[in-house]
Amino acid sequence: MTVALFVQRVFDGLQAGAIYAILALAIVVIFRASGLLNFAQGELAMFTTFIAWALLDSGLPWWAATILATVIGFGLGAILYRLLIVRLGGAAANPLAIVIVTIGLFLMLNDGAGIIWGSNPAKVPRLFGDGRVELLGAGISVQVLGLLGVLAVLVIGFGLLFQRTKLGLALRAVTSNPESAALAGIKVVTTLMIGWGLAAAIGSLAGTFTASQNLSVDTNMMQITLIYAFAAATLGGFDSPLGAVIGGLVIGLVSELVVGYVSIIGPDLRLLPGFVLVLAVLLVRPQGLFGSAKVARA
Amino acid sequence: MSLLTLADVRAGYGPVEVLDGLGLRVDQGEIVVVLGANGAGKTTLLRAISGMIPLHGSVCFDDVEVAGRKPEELVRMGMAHVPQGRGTFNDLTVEENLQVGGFARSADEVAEDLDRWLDVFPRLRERRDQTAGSMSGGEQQMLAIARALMSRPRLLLLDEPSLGLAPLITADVFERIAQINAELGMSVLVVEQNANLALSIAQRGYVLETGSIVASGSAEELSADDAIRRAYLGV
Amino acid sequence: MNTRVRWALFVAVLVVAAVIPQIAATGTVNRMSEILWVAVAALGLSLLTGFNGQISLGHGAFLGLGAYTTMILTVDYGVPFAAAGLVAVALAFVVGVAVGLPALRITGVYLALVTLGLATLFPQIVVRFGTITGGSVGRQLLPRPGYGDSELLDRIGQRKFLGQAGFRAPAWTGLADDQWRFYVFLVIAVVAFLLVRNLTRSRVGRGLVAIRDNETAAEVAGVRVDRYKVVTFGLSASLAAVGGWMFAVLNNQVSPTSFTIALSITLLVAAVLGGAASIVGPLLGAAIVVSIREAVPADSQRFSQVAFGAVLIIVMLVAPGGVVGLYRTIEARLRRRGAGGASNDAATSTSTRPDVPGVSR
Repeated sequence: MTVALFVQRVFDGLQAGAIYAILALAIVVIFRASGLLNFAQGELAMFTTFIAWALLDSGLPWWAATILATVIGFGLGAILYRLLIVRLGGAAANPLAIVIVTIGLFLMLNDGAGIIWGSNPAKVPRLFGDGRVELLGAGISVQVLGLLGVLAVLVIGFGLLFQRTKLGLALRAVTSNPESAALAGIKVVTTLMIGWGLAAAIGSLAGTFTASQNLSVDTNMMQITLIYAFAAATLGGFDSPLGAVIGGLVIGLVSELVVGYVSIIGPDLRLLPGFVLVLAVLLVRPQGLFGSAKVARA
Repeated sequence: MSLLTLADVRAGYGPVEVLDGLGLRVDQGEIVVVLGANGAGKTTLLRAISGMIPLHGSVCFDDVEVAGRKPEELVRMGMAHVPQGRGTFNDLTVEENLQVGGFARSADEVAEDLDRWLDVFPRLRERRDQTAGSMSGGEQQMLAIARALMSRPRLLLLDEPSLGLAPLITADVFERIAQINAELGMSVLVVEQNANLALSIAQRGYVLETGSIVASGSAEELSADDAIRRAYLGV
Repeated sequence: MNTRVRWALFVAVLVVAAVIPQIAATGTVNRMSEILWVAVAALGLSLLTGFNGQISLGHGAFLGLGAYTTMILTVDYGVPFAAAGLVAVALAFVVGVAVGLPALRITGVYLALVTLGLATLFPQIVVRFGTITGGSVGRQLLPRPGYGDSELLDRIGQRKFLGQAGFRAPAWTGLADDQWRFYVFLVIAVVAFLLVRNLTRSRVGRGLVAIRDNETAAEVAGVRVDRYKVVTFGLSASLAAVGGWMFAVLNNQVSPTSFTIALSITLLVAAVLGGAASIVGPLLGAAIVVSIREAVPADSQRFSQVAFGAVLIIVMLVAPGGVVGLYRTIEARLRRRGAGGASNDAATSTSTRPDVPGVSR
């Protein structure tokens, strides 16, 4: 085992992990705001990534298309909340119905994108170019470094948003006690629309980064990522943004290293290490590594 | 002059009607108590007034018909509601709870009022950065009242402030309410089972039984009424 | 509908189902067989979701487990189909319990998460162990060329079992393979549906519904919540494996592409559309789903998928009880009107029945 290979695998793991972390962040934002898991989060990201591709195709630079798609994603998330989720009366009232509705969305977005844009992968460029940086004998792509940078910005941005702004206070108040929040003058539905919008916007970034890594967009590109992102959120704790990010990076690293060094697993069973990790965490520390105990059952 | 007037209010949950054509009045600067046993409809009454559940009939607040308006609008009009169970934001700190209370106001006003209420409730100042869920019931009740006051209301709706509190602490809570009412001239509508204490700070009262007002009068009159004494004062 | 009408209808449907294969073309008979395997698997999901309030997005994996177990045991080890089915059912139960246990440790919809992972993992496992499973191309339920001639099998005297090519009608029946298969499926389905019906009407069934409606209250009332939930999940996985056995027998081949997350979602659509908290619901749902698939041209299947997605959403928003729930509402309303509005018997008698509230509470 060479150092260069190890370093290479670590950065490959971090690259994958950073994308899981971003999507996990989206999942955690929704969980924190409304106590729900959105099973369509990945497909929503895929859908807006196709929108980004369509913008690219119409002549926009890839980075501009990415940003525009993120904004569109915000609107899409907010509208979905307003039109569908709000009618089901929240997580406490009807958790199963909400799972089923998001699964319905999953189907509509996946096959809807297939109908609109076709099933064949569409090509996209890298977001941060093709450059490489030499590190301990391994060539680390600028793409990875850029991705990690974006992740850091997102984490800090979200920390500030939740802890230092009035919107963040409103989001946390609505999560903690929606009825009391309304009595204090917070517009609960609007706040949750913003929460869902933010989540879809972050998810959209995860989508365009995945596309940038695969150099293509296709309808099934986010399904495995969604599983990893759920694993990351489970690992880190569903109510902890920082936990989700660390969880994402850990899952990415562990998967890459296990697949690389444990031959019985191999690339075919890429999903297994993460799955086992999640089952283990659920058994040992159900609230996740950074989550608060109230998520867990007594 | 009347601040809040209810006329023929009917409300409930789904097909179950809890309030059966009820009317009452709260004047400017007054403390009014609504006495009632469990299930009489006290909580439903407050929830209907503050727009948390739909209602039929008329609710006039500050000469404006507000039936059907949402809670977030009514807060901005000057109505604050401390719900049953205190409505604490358990995962937020004491200071953040107060900030949420002042959500409809400007940052300057919030900073100013925050200081003021932390002075009035020194226990809250001590626990300023603690999560609210970790506090005792009495402290949470004080926090809930302070949180409601952060919106600078002209009418404070209190849902059984004595619930789950030790008698001494309950007395303290009611004393504070009387004080604040005297200093600010803010009207208070409090629903209670603990008639003794509530009547001692109130000017007027109503008795609610299965969704209807069955008696009303000044606090002295109600305290002197034999039937009420037997039913609510445990004498 | 009163009980007598129900039984009469049940017998009538059975008679019609028994007659159709005698007059219909092979394609139609196979279509009906397909409805039955989807229905049995959806029944498992209905037991889990509708009656017990848990949700699985991974029943496709249990179906796949059943199908692969059946294929491997019958083809490679010469095990009779019936015995292979029993092994598949037991295996699915064990795996279901193993997966369900960790998810129990947390409130909410964690089972949905874990099972979603399982659904995604299953095809990967199949590909990883390609030497046994046939990898990404899959395998047919036929002996591998040369495999049955191997010396070893001769020596242990197993050769006589091999060489069975798929599921054949015994000569004494005088039936064609597709007819025989359908009748076997029909018997399996009837047994499965009667078992689940009796289970849900028993004391255990009331426990399941109590857990769905209010877990804490059920626990206080003495229901062993954890045990009930895990066993229900195991049973539900077993029913999916029965569906998997039927799948293998019907299609004579298995491949990982048949058991993706899409299958899990299809089963969910069938269960929810028909009415998750009912016994006939999954059968109705399966019939509708298979018929729509059949009616839509192969190159337009994406449209039927979008329609299924929309169906899930619309059912949840408008009629959470599915087709069966809708029927019950209308029936109750008609009966109330029939009684002149004086008695609300109909309303109360339906609403106190354990299986009425549907998925939503």
